[in-house]
Amino acid sequence: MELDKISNLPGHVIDQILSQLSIKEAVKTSILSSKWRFKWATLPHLVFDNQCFPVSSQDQTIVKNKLVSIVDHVLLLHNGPIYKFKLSHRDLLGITDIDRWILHLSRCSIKEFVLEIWKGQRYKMPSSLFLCQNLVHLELFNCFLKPPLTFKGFGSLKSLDLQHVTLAQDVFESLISSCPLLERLTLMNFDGFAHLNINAPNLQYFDIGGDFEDISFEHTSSLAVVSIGLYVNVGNDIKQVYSNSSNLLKFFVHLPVIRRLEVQSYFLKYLAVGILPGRLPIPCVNLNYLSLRINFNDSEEVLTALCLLRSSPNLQELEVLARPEELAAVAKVINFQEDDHSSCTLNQLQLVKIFGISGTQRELNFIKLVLLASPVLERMTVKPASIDGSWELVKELLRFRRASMIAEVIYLDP
Amino acid sequence: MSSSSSPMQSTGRKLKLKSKDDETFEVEEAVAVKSQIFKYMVEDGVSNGPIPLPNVNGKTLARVLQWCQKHADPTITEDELNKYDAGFIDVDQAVLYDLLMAANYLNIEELLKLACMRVADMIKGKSPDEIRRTFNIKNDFTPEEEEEVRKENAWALGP
Repeated sequence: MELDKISNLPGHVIDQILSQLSIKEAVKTSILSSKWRFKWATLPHLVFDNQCFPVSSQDQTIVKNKLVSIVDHVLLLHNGPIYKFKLSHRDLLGITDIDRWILHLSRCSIKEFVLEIWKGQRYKMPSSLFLCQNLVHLELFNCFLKPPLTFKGFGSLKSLDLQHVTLAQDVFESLISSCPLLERLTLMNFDGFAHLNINAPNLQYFDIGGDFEDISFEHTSSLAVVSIGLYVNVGNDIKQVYSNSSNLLKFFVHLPVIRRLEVQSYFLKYLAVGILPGRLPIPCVNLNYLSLRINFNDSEEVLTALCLLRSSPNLQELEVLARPEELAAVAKVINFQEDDHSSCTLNQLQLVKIFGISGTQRELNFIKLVLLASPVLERMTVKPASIDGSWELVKELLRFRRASMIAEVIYLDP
Repeated sequence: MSSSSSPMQSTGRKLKLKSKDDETFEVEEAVAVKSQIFKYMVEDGVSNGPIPLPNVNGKTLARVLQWCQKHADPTITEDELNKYDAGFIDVDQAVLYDLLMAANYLNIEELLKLACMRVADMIKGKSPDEIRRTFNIKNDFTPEEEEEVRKENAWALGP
C-alpha cells in the first residue's frame, strides 16, 4: 500500500503547490480528507481573475452577484495573513463591495495588491487602502486616488504601477516623495496632473506613457532604466520661459547611471525644445541601450538624436523608429559635414535597427553616420515604411562605407 | 536566479557533502550556491570536513546536484534549460517527493518551484476522487462531515 506523502508536506510547500491552481481548484481540495479541509484557507496569495475564476452566465447581474459572493465567502473562511491579492475580472465593475474587501486586506498585512477595473468609471480607492503600511507592490488600473490628509506614504513600497488613473498634482508628488523605498514606477495614461517631478532616491526603473507638460528628476541617482512616451504632439505650443533653457540638458542632469533609455511617441520633440548642444556636458557612460522614435523631417529632433549619440560612448544597441509625419513647416537642411562623424564614436555599438524610414536624404545621412562611427558593429537592420522608394533605399545602403569589417546590413521588406 | 555577490567561479573550490546514507559528493562552490544553505555557509567561511545532510539520501542528492550543475552552466540557453527541467521533473511520485523535500531542506528556490508546479499539474483538472487515487489520500470524512464541507464550499464543489 503506497503511502500518502503529499498530505504531510510542510505548510509552505503546500501553499506553493496550491498557489499554482485556480482559487476554485484550490478550494476543491478541502474535500480530499480531514487534513486537507483547511489547507487552502491559509494560502497567502489570492487571485481572482478571469482564468482563476471562470463564471459562466449570460446575465451580467447574476455573474456580478456570484463573483461578489465568492470573494466574500473566500475571505471569510480564509485564515491567516494575505500577502498577495489580485482582483481583475472583466465582469467586476467598480462596485462598493471592493471597499469592504480592501478594508479586510488592510488588516491582513497585505504586501502586494493588484486591482484592475476593466470597465466603467474610475474607481475611487477607499481610505483603507492607505492604511496598508506593509505594501511592497501596488498595481491599479482605472482608479482614482485621493488619500486622506493623514496619509504619510507607503514606507515599504518598492513597486508602483498606475495605469488609467486620475490623481491631483499634489497627490502625485506627495505620493512619490513619501515612498522612500520606491524602485519601480510605471505610469500609463494618467490625468489630473501634468507636471512630473520625480523625487525618488531609490528609483531604478521608470516607465511612463501619457500626456504631460514637463518632466524633471530629483535625487534619482539610481535610475537606470527609463522609458518615456509623450502621447501628445507638443507642436509649437511649448512656452520657452527662459531663453537659455534646454529640456535636453535638464532631463539628463539627474540621470547619471542611466543604462537603458526609450524615447517614445513625441518625447524626442519635447527634448528638442530649447538649447541643443553638440553633446551633453557629462556623457552617459552607462547607457548601453537607446531607442528613439524620431521625425526625421524635424531638424531639431535630428540634432537632439545626434547629441545623444555623441554623448553615449558605450552604446551597444540602438533602435531608431521613424515617425511618419508631414514635413515640418520650415525644413532646414542639415549639412552633415565630412568631419562630423569623427566626433561621434560608438566603439561598443553592435546592433542597430532602423525602422519606418522612407529613404530621404536626411535618413540616409544618419545611417551613413552610424555606419562610419561603429567599428564593432555586427548587424544593422533596416526596414522602410512602405514599398515606395525601397529599391532606391537598398541601392544607397549598398554603397555606404562601414567602419566595421564584420557588419551585416540587412534589409527587411515593409 | 540566485547569485552570490563574491566571484565564485575563479576560486574553483569544492564543497564536500555527505548524504544521510553516508555517500559523499564533491561539488564546485559555484554550483552548490544554488542552495541558499550552502550560499550562506560559503559566505561565512566553510568548514573543512564534509557537510552532513541527514535529511537527504544519496540518490536524491545526486539528482539535485545534477540539476544545480545544469542551472549553473553559463553557456546553456533558456530553451535548453526549460527542456531539461521538463524532462528532469517527469519522475514518479516517490522521486518527486524526495526532490521536493530536498529542495525545501536545502532551500533551492527554483527547484522547489519546479517540483511544486509538477505536483500542481497532477492535481489540475481532476475530480476529488481522481486526486485521492493519484496521491493515495484516504477520505477519512464521515458522511456528515463530508456533507458539511460540501455546503461550506458549495461554490467550488457544487455540481
